[in-house]
Amino acid sequence: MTEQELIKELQNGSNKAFRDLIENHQGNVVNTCYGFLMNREEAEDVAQEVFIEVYRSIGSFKQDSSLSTWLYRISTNKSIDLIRKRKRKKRIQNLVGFYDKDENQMIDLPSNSQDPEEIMEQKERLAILHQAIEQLPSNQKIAFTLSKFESLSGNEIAEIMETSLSSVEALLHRARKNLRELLHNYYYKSDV
Amino acid sequence: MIVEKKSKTMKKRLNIEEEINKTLESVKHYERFEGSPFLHTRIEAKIKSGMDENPGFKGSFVFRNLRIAGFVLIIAINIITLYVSFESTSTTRDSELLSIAEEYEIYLTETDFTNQNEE
Repeated sequence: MTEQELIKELQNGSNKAFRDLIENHQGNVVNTCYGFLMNREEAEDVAQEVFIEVYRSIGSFKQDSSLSTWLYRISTNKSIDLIRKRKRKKRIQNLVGFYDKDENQMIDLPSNSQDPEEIMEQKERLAILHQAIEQLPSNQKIAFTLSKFESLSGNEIAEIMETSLSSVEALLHRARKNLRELLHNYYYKSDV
Repeated sequence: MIVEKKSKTMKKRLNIEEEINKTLESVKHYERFEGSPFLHTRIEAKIKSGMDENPGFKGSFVFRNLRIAGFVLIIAINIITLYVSFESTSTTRDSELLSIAEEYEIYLTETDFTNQNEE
């Protein structure tokens, strides 16, 4: 089935087409959300919301981009929204005084290493990196996450972010520079 | 002493650079997470439960207007009740005043009633 046919079937309300869509794109959607959130449960919840939104608004899909670009866009927006909500919640909890300041919390990151010590070290490093990514401005965060965790090309990221390739390259350059600074401050304070 | 301090700072800077590089490279060890194989079942169940709840009515124009009308009605009933109770209190006070005046054979003028009400 071509993408055009799949979209037509989806617009006609076909359950089979919807199942096919989930099967074909679940991996990319979940992994994109996971790249932003670094939490498996939250990533799956957001992925569910992404597909529900697609189901509800497929009728108004203008096809000015591919289905996968549209899915990446929704996944990115929903993940960024959740990160904002998290930050708001944290601020409120800080104000009320209930927030447990666990800055170096271990995130449930998968790793392809076998050695337990190495796994632990990688988890720690990825958690530190994720904390630094969280502090980047939204556009840099999106470009960096899609590039590093979803391995998308500059052109693909440009299409998702509805911008030019040179802008994406500039965003990635600034993201790397800012991350180096943030990590430098982190390691300087923790007295390596 | 100064040379020793300088070499310590250099060492620390090098260590930090090394840590930064290692941390940035940790992305290479990242393993994709693609979710549970039952995700589509959960999504379909969610869509179905969303339809059963019929959220259309709660968000509808009629429902919103009904809520506003109900609110206005409650406020109107409260205002009327307050007004009626105030009126009946002042009438009761007037009749009590008259009966006391009659008992003691005092003749009251209109200003007495006004003063009483003002109090």
